[in-house]
Amino acid sequence: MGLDRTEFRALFERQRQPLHRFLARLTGNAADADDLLQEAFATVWRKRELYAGRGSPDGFLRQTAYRLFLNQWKRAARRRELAPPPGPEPTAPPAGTELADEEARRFLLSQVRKALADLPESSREAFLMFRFDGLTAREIAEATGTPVKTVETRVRRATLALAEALARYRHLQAG
Amino acid sequence: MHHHDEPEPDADDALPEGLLEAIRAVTEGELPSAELAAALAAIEAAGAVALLEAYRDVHAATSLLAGPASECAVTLADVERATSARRPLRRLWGLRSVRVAAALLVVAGVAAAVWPHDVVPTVALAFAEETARVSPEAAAAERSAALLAEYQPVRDGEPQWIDDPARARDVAAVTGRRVLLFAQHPQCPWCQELRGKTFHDAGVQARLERFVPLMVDVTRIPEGEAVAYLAKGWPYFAALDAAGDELAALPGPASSTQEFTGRLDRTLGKVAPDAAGEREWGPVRASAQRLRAAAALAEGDDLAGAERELRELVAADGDGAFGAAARTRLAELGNEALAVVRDAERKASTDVSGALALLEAAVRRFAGTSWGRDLDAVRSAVEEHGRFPRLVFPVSGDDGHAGDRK
Repeated sequence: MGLDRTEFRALFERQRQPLHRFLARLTGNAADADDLLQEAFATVWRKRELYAGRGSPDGFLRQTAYRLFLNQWKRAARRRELAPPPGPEPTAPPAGTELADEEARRFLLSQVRKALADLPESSREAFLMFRFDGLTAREIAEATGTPVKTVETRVRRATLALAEALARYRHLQAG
Repeated sequence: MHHHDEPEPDADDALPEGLLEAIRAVTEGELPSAELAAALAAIEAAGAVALLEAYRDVHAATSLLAGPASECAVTLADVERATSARRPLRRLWGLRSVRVAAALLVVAGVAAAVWPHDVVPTVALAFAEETARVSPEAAAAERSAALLAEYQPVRDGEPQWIDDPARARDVAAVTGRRVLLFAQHPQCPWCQELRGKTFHDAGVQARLERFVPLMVDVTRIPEGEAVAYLAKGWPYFAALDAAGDELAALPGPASSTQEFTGRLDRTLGKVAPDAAGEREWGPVRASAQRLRAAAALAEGDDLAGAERELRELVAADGDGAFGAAARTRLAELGNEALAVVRDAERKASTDVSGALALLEAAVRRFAGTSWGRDLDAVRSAVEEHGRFPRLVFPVSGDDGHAGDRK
């Protein structure tokens, strides 16, 4: 059983914003996210017969969007060879500094990004989907075509690695 | 599925399904107290308290990354336009890049339509390549034109014997007559009597004019041929066709002019009973003169004069040998002009000014002719548009001037 137009519209209304967030985080900008989102919905509609009996339409949509991201955007992004962020690396503020301090906040943000960048790519993506898109391990597995247990391992390992990397800056986080 | 970039989880690492989600729910504080207690119990039972602590720290740190959520700009209408199942093209049209490309194509098309360099002019040529087939009659006319331009079988009471068998055969082909062969020896008394008396008889001359008179001096021909005549004796008379084949032999020496006249009549009755196919000597002479005049004019580069003579010859002798010869010459001139056009066409692809030079020279050479007008039309088109025109050849086939393409 495929997806009819009414169900498709409901899927769009339900997933429009979450999927946009998901794609914006993957691509790093809203415009690319919009393009991928439109293409993802169009692909889901074209392949609606394939969806029949394969999990939720939401999962099918995320899986489609993620594959499009891998196939199109990521390949192009690799060619662009993203340059490192401009400006000097922020230096660590002295112990006891509050998070309200803008300088401390920027420093912590740079360390979070660095810690994320140090993760294996598959773990980073699984963790970010879990953390920011509110997806379950099963949903991530569905979207990325990965076994659930592998996703759980990736999220767990990413969590432990990030915690270890960021432990020394715990004092910068607002209490 | 390509998920082998990470080792499969160790058995020791395995978490009960749903435990990660429970850790996240506890951390985000979104559980009612009863469920929170059950979740914490499950976490503790799985020995994942350290993981819960780690996730809390990481959750707090990464909350900095969340930032303000961007708004999705895609509407349902956008998606539906892109997903129109009935018209796949509409889906393409929904993409802005496709619309921009289409607009550029339209602009390019309009530019191509109005840009003068892209206009291919068309020039109709009234002449076209024609196989310059030379019929046997036309060839015979060409070969005998010089002789026939001045020829009369009997002039001033004297028979004008042709002494070249090949030429006599050509004249026979052109005039539709039989050849009368008179093989003679200078010292033969009968031959001397015929030359001195019989051939001056008006009745005999009238009959000679129906033939193409050929006199062969057996002392002036190759020995092998002379032997053949020796076997037949001389004088020897025979009627031949235009191919030189003997149709009838006249019996030996006649005892009188009347007897000779009677033999000519019987031979004519036998080999040419109907004079309808025989062309009058006067018009044949006029046609030969015209063909020679056309040749002389062409040699003097007066192609306009040559064309005029040839066309008049075609009009006067449409179905005759000289008319055929004139058509052949017109076709040759047309082909010469067309060859220039073709050369110019080839040259124009790399050298427009070189092509123009070729055409200008040809326009001068063919000035005043029908081909000259066509050449000038092509030249003007090349000059005006800077490129070679498309050529059109109307098929109207008349006298070699038009494209009778077969």
